[in-house]
Amino acid sequence: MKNCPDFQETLWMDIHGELDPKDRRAWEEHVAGCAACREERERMSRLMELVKEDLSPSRLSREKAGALSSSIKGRLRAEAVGVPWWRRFINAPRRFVPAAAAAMLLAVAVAWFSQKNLSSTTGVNHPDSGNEIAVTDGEVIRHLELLEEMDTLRKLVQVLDEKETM
Amino acid sequence: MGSRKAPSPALWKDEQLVAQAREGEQWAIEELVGRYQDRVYTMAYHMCAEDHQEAEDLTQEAFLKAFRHLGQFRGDASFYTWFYRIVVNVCLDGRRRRRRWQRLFSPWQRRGEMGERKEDLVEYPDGTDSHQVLKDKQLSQDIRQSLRSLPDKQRLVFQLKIIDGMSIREIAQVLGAAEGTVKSHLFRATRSMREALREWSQP
Repeated sequence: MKNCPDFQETLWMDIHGELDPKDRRAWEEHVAGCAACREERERMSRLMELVKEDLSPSRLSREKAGALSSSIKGRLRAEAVGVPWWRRFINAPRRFVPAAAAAMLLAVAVAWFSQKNLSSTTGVNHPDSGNEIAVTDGEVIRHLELLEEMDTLRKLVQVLDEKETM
Repeated sequence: MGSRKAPSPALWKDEQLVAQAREGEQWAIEELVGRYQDRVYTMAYHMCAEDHQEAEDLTQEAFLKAFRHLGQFRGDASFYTWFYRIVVNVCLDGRRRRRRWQRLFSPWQRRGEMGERKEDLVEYPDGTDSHQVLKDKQLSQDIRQSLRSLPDKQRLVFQLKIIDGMSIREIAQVLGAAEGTVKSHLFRATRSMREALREWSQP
C-alpha cells in the first residue's frame, strides 16, 4: 500500500521532528483515517531510530580523549609562546608522517641521481664531446623507465589539480 | 595564561567558556573540548570513510582552528553552530584530501583478503546470540554503506540532523545555506536511505 503523495513532505517533516504545530492537527487527522500513511510513518520512524542508534556518537576512549585535549592545549600554548616550528611538528597530526616520509625519500632520490649524474659528467675525462653525449644518452636510456613514470605522475597531479580548481 | 580552576565548569554556558578560553584559561579550553569531542569525532569518522586515525586528526584540526579563531566569534549565532561550521569545513577538506590521495595511489592500494577491514573481524563473547549479532552487523554495514553513497551535501545534512539532532534552521546556519535547500537535501537523503534500507524497515 502506497502512502499519499500529497502528504509525503508532511510525513518526512514529522519523522524529522520538524512539523509545524499548526500543520500537525490536520496531519494527525489524516493519519487517523489513512492506513497507508500510518504504516509508512511507523516504518520510517523505526528505520530512522535504527539509523540513529547505529550512527550515535562514538565515544573516544579516556586515554584518547585525554591525549587529544593535552595535544590541543600543548599546541595552543606553543603557538602563544612562539615555540620553534620543528617542536610543534612533533604534535602535528599523524597523517602528515607518510607525506613527510615520502618527501624525504624523494629528496634522497633526487640527491642520489644528481650526485650520480655529477660524478659521471665531471669525474670521468672525456676526450671529445661525442663521448660526453654518448654517456649522457646512456644515463637517459638507463633511467628511461623512471623518467617516464615521473612524467606520468606529474601529468596525473596536473590533471587532478585542474579538476580541483574547477 | 592562567591556571586558576573555576568552580564546576560543566555548569558554564558555551559562550562563557569561550570568553574564558579567549583569556587563555586552560580549564575552559579543556571543558569545551570535552563537551564536543565525541560529536566532532563521530562526524569526522563518518565523513572520512570510517578511518579512526584520520577522524582523530581531523577532530584535533577542527578544535585548533576554532581556538585560533575565537576572536572572530562575535556571538551572533551560538558557539555550537559557529564551531560546527568549522568542523564541517575541516571534514569536507579532509574528505577532498583523502579522495585526491586515493586517486593518486589507488593502483598501489590493496584491501585485505576477502575485502574485510580489521575492525570487522571482531570476536564476540560466549553466549552471544550469533544470529542476532550477524543481523545487527549486516544492518550496520548496510546503514554505513548507504550513508557513504550519499552525495557530500546530503550526507552532511543527514548526519547533522540524525546524529547531532540539529534543526533545519541550525543546519542552514552551519552550512550557510537557505533553509529550503537544507530541507531538499534532507528529503533526498531520507528517500535514498529509505530505498537502500527498505528490507530493514519491514515490520
